[in-house]
Amino acid sequence: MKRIAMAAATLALASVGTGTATAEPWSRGYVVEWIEAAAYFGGKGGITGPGTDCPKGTTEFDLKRLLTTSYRPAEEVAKILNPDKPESKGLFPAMHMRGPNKEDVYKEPKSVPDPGMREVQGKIAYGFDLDGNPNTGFTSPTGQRGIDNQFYKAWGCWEAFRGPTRSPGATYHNDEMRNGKFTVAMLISGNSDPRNDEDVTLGIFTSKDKLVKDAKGDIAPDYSFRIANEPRYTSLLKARIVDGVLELKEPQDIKMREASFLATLTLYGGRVRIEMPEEGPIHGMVGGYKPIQEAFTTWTIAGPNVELVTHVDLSAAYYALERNADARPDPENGANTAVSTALHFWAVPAFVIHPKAGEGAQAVSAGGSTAGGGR
Amino acid sequence: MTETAEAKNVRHTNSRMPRITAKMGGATLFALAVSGTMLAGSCAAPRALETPGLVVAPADTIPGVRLSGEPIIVGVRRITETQYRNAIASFLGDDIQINAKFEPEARSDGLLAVGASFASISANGFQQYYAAAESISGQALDEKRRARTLSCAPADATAPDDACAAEFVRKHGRLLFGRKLDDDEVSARVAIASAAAGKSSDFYAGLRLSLVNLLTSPDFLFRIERAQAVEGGDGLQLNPYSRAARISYLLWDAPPDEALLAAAESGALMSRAGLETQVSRMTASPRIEKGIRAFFSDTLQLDLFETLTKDASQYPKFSQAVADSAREQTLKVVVDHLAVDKGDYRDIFTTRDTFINRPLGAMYKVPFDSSAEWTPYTFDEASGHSGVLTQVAFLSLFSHPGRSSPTKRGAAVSEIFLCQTVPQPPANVDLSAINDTGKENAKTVRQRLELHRTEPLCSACHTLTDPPGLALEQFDGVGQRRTLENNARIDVSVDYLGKTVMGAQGLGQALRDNPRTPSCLVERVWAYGRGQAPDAAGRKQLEAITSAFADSGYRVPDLMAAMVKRDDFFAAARMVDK
Amino acid sequence: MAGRFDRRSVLRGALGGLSVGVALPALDMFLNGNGNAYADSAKLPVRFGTYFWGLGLTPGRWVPKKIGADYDLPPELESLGALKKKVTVFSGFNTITDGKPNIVHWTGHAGILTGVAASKDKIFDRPSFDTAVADAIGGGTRFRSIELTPFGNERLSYSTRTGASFNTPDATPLAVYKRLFGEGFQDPNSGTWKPDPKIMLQQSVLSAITEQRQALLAGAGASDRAQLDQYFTSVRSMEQQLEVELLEPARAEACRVPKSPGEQPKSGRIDIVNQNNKMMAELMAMALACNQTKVFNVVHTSSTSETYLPGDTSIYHLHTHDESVDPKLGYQVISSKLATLAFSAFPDFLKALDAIREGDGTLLDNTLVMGLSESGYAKIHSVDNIPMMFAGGAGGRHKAGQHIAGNGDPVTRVSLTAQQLIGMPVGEFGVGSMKTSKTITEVMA
Repeated sequence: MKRIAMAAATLALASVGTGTATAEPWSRGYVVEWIEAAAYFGGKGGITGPGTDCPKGTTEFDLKRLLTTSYRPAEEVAKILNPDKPESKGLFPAMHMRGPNKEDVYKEPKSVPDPGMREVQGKIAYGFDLDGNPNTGFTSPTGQRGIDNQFYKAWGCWEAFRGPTRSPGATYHNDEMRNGKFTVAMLISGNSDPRNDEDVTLGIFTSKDKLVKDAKGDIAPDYSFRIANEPRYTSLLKARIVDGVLELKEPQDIKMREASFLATLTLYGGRVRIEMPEEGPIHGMVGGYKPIQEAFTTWTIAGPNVELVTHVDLSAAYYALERNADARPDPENGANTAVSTALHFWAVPAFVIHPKAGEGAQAVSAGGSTAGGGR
Repeated sequence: MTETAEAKNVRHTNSRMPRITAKMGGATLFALAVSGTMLAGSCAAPRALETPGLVVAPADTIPGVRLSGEPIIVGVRRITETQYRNAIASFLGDDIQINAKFEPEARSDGLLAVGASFASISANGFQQYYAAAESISGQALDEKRRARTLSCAPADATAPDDACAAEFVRKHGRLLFGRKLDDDEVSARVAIASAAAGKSSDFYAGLRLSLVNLLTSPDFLFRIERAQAVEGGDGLQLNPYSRAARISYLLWDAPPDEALLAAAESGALMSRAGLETQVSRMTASPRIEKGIRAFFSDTLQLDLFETLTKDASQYPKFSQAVADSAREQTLKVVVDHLAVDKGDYRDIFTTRDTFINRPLGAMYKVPFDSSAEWTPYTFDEASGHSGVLTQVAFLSLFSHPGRSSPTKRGAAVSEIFLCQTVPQPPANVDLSAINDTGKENAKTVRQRLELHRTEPLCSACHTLTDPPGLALEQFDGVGQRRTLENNARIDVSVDYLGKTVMGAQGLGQALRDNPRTPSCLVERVWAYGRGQAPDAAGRKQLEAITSAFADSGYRVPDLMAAMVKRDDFFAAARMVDK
Repeated sequence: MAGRFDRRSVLRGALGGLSVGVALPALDMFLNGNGNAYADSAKLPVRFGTYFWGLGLTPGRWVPKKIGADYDLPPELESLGALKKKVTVFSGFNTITDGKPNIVHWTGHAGILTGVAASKDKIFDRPSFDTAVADAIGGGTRFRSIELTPFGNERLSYSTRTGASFNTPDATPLAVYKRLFGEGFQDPNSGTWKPDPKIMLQQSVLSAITEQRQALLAGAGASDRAQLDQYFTSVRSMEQQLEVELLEPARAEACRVPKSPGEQPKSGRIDIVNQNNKMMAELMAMALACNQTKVFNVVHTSSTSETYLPGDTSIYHLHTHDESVDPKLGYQVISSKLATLAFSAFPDFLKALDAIREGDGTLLDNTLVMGLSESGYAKIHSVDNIPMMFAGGAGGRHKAGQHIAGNGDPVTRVSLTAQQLIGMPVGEFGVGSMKTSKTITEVMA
């Protein structure tokens, strides 16, 4: 029987779980089992009802008004929407072509006047103090001031984002991930002690190996994931761990796979915070400034469906985003092109394995070649 | 075989082994052989029946077993699922899909193979076999496969053709039953085909029914072993066909192939040289892996996976994929080590070499770095692993749905690997008084079992069963490594067979070094092959085999080969009642 | 009565159950082509079933205080509720081993079903009496009997013709559905019946098999013969099914073809087992109403029941041995909870039968279901006071709704009475101390 030496791997494994300082290089692998925009929910009942975040509840949605344009009178809209004679074939093109000159509103959201969008009125939000100014932005649920999350301000009352954590709006894309469409893996490695380490690298990757569900339908820990060579979804971030909390040493640009229609998530001046227990799953938050075009496009890819299912007018959403953008001004017109945001993620221990040499290996500086988190 | 070759065989049979022409299945071998000439008829394209590798024993130089008298039935063993599948794959093609639910098998004296000697077929089960037979027949005779399945073609595909049907029945009946069919047996099936072909104007529709009949006949669904008196001796010996079947099922887990059948028919198999020839041929074939796989699947009780359930809230990671993988892992390791590497049997208790796939990587908490489905893997010493004992299969099968069970594991070690009989617990003992989990000294399973063993009624058995199980306690009810239970460190040092043994690796070494371990395997293989556990006298006979097994370096293929070369392996008791 | 039975079956009955010839007499009888004789010749009761649950009930928690009619319902029997009018409870009947060791969780029900304590684990010394009932009344329907278990384990059956080979049960609601209402099922009320031409071809395949029977059996010893004989009986069963399928089915007033239950979760968890039990009960009830069979055998949980409470790490069987008797309450609390839950599946099953109107009453009124377990006190493997029950009216023959105290009599008295309520011409049952001819006349209407 041909044998592969796995000594390094098992050594790394053996060093995990003792819970004591090792003063040796260490690494822990994780695989993301849920990720969603960090939206503080101020409602009490259902996700559409009023709350401290959105006193009037989620955004209004009027399909009739949405379809009515200068060239498409109310009678024609009524015809399109007539339930007895559904001309559904006509509905989607009609939703696309809403501009006065039949512009596709998903490509040219500003071809129509701003329909207006309910924005978050509450004072509390998740996120990071990205601009270092405690006087701008929200207060975190734990009382930290200066939380910059204009994305939440703009879109937090939209059904796709509103709700308690693991919100219904995020379920569709997370289900796709959990059912194997894509995988986001993380490898955290350091040089001295997983609880306190000044020299930590957080690698964020994708893997072609699918998530696996356990007998209860949750994502099973301890599976192996080989890192895929996809630089556009890969980030290597310098971090430190203090008393079991990982944070980046300084703001760094982050690229990773997003659980959305558009796969790319770009965060300029990104931050990360991960609470790392000695064993088991982790919860963390990643934030930064996200290009508004990227944020918008991820929804317009499935424009009509998104509007019908999540009850939103996407041109209104675009205006709201533009209105709340707070970074990266366009050098020509001075308009901000990026918006502060944050995402929650939950991840379970996993073996995150580097590609073998000669198979498109990446320059990844993480510690051991593999890592096992958890017990 | 060609007419000429057959005629030659007949001459051999006739001159050297006249007694073997005794009645078998209602006709004589002699007559059966001659009846091959009846085939020609109207078959459009008769093909020669091939007999590859047939070697006729030089019977005039080496004496063999001579049988006489009426054959009597000395054993009825229901065919197992894998035997059924192997038979269909080798006779009708491995592209035939068999989607059937087989009768559950029952274990007796540690083996399903022994249980099969008592097993029959229930009404439910028969319907399943019938449905499988219809499906298999449909596939074997569909347009794409019929040329392959038939050795003749009908003169008219829309009408009966009795000659071609007879050739078909004779050919497939012989393979499926492991013996030639007599003329009455053939004509009964030809009649089915003929009537149905006439009714449906479809020759192949008729053949399908005759094949359904063959596949649901007792001669296929059961291995019916027949024996005859030994000339000049006392006792009975299996007749050539039953001898061939016993060899083939042990070595290949399948009915005899053409060459072996031919050796049975010619009588060569009853001679020393003829037997040697066949056994060498068969042990050299990769099909020996199937034989070893089937034996270990049985003796390691891997069939228990079919009814294994684990509590999802205790062991969420244990999914159907994990269960299937665990079963396959154990078989892969055993077959690789024993059949491919021809390794020492005793090493299966200590080796840290194994195979993993992705789900098992997660169970063992080791990385799986391969794009293949399975990859070899070697645990390091610190992992605590020790051969089959620490595989997910053994550890999860002999546990409860929600927790490990040292007693179940210990009993399994004793029964499976050492052939010890663990008695039933006494009927009238109150266990609860010594099993009060509230007590401070009863936190771990071990502590509770130790209390349990202070009860004299219990101690006799539990001192036997528990130590090996307690040595495995660092693996939970689905085989995951652990060092703590209820925050208390798990102590895995035990006194076992007069020695202090530490953990799974200590236990593995103790089993490896125990002389009872190989002799138990010899008993099991013997019982597996014969469908009957040896009695005390029988066990005594096996000592010579055990010692040869040791001389061979405990190589299991050699052990199997040695067994099927012994006349006593084919001996039958005159008392036919089991 | 006796006139309706041929000489051999009377002889068999007279010899105390099934000691003679295993299935041979019945098989011969059917081979003679009068398989419908029992079914058509009189308004015989009807349907018979056994319903087994593992590990008995808790002493002090199930035996009614009142003997006779209108008994009280102790805690573990509460789930019977209003059904108690249709259920007779037997307490105080024992399996007597006659010096054989008590094979734990095996001896008890072996005694009830075969009339004699078993000599070996996992094997009965004799056939179970339900197979004789099936031979007697199971003709004229597609299936001579149906075995099922909601536990999901295809080895879980105590119905046997040989003692060694047990009749394979259907173990999921979907499997039960497919067998009863899948291929080959003919809706008796569809009015569009046509015989399937395939059937006669299948018959030719099978008759060529049964023709070999005598020749093959002639050369075999007793044990081999029993194996082969069981096989031929199974072939014969399928022939019977085909014969029935060739006839236009009689209309069945209460028959409504059920929908497929689909794939259901398979688990030992008690709530899942009981849920599957309910679904199987409804299918079984409809199978009886649609004349697909007259005999059924249910094993809810095995005699070493591996069922468990949601979230528990230990199984029922272990609890019965490990759990202490609560000093204040005087019983094992978790075990009693599991006993209560396990037993509640029996009334659940009965309810499905009782929900179907048939003539002036219900399907249950035309059925006799014998409920039984294997031990009287699982904690110590006692085979005294094994819980047994009769449910249903047996076509008016059963005087239901009573509590009968056995006072240490053999369990075979109950088994004998069951056979007689079904109309079997059986005068005695059992072997050794278990041999009895004493009918429990109190329950005979």
